[in-house]
Amino acid sequence: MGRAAFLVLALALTACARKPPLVFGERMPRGCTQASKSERCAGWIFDRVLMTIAFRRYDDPAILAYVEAIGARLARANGDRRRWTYRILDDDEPQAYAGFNATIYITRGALAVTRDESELAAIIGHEMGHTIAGHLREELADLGRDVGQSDVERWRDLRYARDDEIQADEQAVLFLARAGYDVHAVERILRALGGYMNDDDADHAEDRHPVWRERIARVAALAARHPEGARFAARYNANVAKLVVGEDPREIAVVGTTLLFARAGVAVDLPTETRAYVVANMVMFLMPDGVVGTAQLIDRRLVADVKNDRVHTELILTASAAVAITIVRPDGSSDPAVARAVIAKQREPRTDELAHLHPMRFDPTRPRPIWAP
Amino acid sequence: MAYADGSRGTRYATRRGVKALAVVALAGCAASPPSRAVCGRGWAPLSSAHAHVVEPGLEARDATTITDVRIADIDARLTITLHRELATKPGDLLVDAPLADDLRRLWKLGVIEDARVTLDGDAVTFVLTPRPMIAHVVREGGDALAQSRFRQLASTPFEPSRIRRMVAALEESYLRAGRLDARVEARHRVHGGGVDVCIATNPGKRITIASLEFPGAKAVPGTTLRQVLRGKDANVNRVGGTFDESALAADEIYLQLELWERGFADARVGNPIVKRRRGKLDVAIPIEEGPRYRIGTVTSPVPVPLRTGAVFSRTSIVAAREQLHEMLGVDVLPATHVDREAMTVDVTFEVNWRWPWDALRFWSWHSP
Repeated sequence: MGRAAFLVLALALTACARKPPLVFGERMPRGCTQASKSERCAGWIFDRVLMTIAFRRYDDPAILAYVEAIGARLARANGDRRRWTYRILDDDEPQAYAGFNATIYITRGALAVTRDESELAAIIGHEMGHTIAGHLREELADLGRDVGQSDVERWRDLRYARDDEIQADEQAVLFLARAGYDVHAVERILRALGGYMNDDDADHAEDRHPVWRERIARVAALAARHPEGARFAARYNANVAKLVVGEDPREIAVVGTTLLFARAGVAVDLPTETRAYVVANMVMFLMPDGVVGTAQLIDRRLVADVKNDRVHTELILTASAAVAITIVRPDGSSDPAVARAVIAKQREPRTDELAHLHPMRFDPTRPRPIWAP
Repeated sequence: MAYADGSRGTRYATRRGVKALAVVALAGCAASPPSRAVCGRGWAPLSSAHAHVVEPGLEARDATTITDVRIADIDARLTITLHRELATKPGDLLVDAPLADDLRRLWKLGVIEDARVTLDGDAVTFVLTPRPMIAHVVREGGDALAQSRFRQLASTPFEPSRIRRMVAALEESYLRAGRLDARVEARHRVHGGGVDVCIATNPGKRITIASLEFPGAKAVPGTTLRQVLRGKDANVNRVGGTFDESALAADEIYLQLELWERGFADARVGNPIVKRRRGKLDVAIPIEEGPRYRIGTVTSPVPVPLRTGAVFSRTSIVAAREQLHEMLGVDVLPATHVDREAMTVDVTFEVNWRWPWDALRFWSWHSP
């Protein structure tokens, strides 16, 4: 056997022998470990954490395809050949993020405040701008940088972060202009987001974004130099007509003292004196003797991580999801017995209960708050 | 190998000599420092002067009532956006109008290069000059990712202060990566079609730490002190890693704590002395240990696990305070008095009794 062939075989065997580690139930890409700092590997972990711990995927392939088509149009117009990935997050808060490996995250809340395709293109263009301008370069370099930072350095980094936001806004205007979209859409969506956040527009030192009035003026000044372009409002309305707006009761709901996880097919009856509230992506309930409980719908693949947690958690397992029940006594300790008693009251949701769970859908005629000085 | 004639062998020797020369020449090319990236002639430094926002000097017309407020010389749609920023409104007396504040507010938005106020009859006009646009960006040196921020400057407004910050940010990121000689330079040239910007990036070599010593540390070994420094995961401030002065400054307190923990209550940690030998650094952090202190008298309402004569240790005092707090359910403050002659630290646990309830609780706890 030639030396080269031997080396190739040895490398191949080494690759086979060292399987990438599991992270939250899924194996990392080949050649990656948790300590890898390459964009491919670190970005994969970032995406995994975001999509399993922080957010849930919004399950609407048609809307995802629509977002991908707008992204492709922007990329094509700007001569960008990256393989972009888009993720719609099941979150009502209007937000968008630029991740590693050319991944863009958009919440359904952001789609809900958008009124035409050019505005959605503005959101995508802004996040694309962060990626194309290499704004994540320092983030990647600083991953796992376990050293101290002075106040001056922190302040300076915030100032640089604001410059990045200004550049991403500018890129959004330019991308829209090249793709034939209405360039004023960036200003409109900024005003809509500012209106939603009901911001006082005070210049807080720790804010990574410039104040709304500055962002709006800057994009307006740049847009003034470009032709208007198309908005495609009707097309947007048609594509997102089924978008869920606000909290989705089919995910988590409380009906009386029954917790309903309709999508997961789980209902849990709590004692009659219990008070329960939906808080973000979980239910918090207060039992008569001061015992506090949480019920959270989690990814089925996270079950092993939950079991290793210090807080005792009881699980209701379904095919794709799990409901994690945690009970905490007033002294802060876990109460496994009560958790088991709660679990024992699980059942399938009844048809009459499910009939009440209607999410609100996208309505383009619904007025949205607009930021104005 | 034997040759039939000597000439062949000579020819071979000559060929080998040529090969050796070629190898030396190529090695010389590889070893010589890469040419420094520069913008070259015709490029001017970025001006650090701010645009001169002209303060209104309209005192002669103080009594005038403003009938109209206009913005001139910019796009009509942008005018509407900027108009919303103006506090000056028709009906204001000119003397009371916040013209200067309005100019400052417009300037802070970052979209104008110049501004002035004129009075046309009873109408106030803000005459604004928009920023020129960047036509081309020329990039010299540096890696593609580092340059991508600058590449995207084309077709955006020319804002020297922002470009200067971008340059500083890139230089700092190189410094953080151990490229202590990194230099990034931004220049510009103005022409009829706008402004061209040139960015010359010289990342320089990565400089690593050859040695990290703690001269003056005798009782506490250097290996122990090196462990105190953070940066293990980032390979910062350790032998073979990169040097981060700021991170080291932040770690000074941890070195101090390590010394306090071992009885050196007067210990001083000096500023790092860094010596450079080509691509390597020798870092020395001077330590003045001072005398080793022991615990002197201990004053406490109840016995605590702190023994007179034991080596002074910060954590043992903290542990004793925690125990008291737990036992009495009150706030406890350890006060220390350093006796430099006896080289002892007297510790008094001052208890905030919050009379009378906590005293009663303490009494009842001790009662049979």
